[in-house]
Amino acid sequence: MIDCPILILKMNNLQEQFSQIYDQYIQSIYRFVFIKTNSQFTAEDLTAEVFTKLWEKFQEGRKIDNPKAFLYQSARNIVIDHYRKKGSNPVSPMNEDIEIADNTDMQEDAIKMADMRMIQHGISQLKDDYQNAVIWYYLDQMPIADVAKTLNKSEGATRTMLSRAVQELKDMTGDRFKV
Amino acid sequence: MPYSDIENRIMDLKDIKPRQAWANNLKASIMANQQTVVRPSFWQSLVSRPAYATLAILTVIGGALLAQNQFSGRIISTLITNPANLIPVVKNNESYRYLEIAENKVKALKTAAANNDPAKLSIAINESAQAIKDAANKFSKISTPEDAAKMATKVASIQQALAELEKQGIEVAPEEARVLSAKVSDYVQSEMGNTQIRMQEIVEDSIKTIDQSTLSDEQQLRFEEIKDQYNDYQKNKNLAILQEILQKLLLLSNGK
Repeated sequence: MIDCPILILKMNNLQEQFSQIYDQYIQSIYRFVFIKTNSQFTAEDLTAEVFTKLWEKFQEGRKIDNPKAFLYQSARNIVIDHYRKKGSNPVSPMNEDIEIADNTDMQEDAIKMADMRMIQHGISQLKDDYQNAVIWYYLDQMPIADVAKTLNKSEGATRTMLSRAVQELKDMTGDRFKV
Repeated sequence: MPYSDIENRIMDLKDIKPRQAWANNLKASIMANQQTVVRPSFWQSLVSRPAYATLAILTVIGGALLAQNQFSGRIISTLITNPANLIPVVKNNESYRYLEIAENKVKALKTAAANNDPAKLSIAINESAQAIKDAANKFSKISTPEDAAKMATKVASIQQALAELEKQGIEVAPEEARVLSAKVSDYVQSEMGNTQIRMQEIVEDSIKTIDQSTLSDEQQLRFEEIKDQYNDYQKNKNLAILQEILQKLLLLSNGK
């Protein structure tokens, strides 16, 4: 055996913890960033930044009680910072391929992808708080109380916000979907 | 809010997922990065960068291997079981001498604690604290990876003993221990900047050498697995995998 067994064990433990959190949240954080940026490459770059921050915290020995909250807060800040650096608001090219789960029916896939692009584009045009509320409530299936807490709003205000967000999406997508 | 088409379409976005290969590579590359900035406590300071201590030792082992320029299970076995014996002795090094004294004092303290002798325990705690303080104050940077390896080994040994004592409720000079750990960590880190590259060279050299050796069927199978793993490593450069490969090569060479 190599020397320093305690060091190796503790490092392995650190890596194991990080690895578990990474596996648990990589998809949701990537999705969160992707929806906001409309770009696969930007989403990959910014998601990498988010998890690198988490790893740095781990290495500094900082205790992170709620990794999910930490990751989303980092992601929000990093996306905001990204647009600040670019000096512009989110651009919505709508031409990025969305990677979706396997589906053998190609026609169904194509329709679904077109709908997804339209909705995703719509969400990216919403106000930041509306975007977050929609993503957390519908995609991450956070309870309304948790969404409200994260947004620092009352449950009632959060429900209203979600309702308005869906209405705005309806207005943006025209008659294609009925609310 | 009742479900509607638009809500269903929003929920379809759940299917958005990152590219699997990208996700795997990202995780590996993040975890391969051992750089740190802040050291909030004594143990965390080394624990956050343990790879450097291990790497230092592995580098020395690899250096000895390369110097031998041959594939010898016996030599490698000796290196694994007792690497310190084959690392050149750090001569005339005051820092190292103080680390040795601190190690001995802390080991004596462990013995006193195990024997539950209050009088000896009190003296041993004071002596250990003083020795750790001296080691921290007298520490100065020196310049070879071999020295770094020896230092890291000593600090790891002290760390292990102190951790065991801490479990028994005996805390010895925590601030001085933190300073010592931080100084040695910084030093080891600065010395080991290129160690991963050196490790790669060691692995490649070992693979070439083993390729020319006669192996049993079972050894050949394990060797092929190691080569496959190294090919994977080339894609993600995960330090942990490289360490694992090196250890497997060393074990293979030792016929285990």
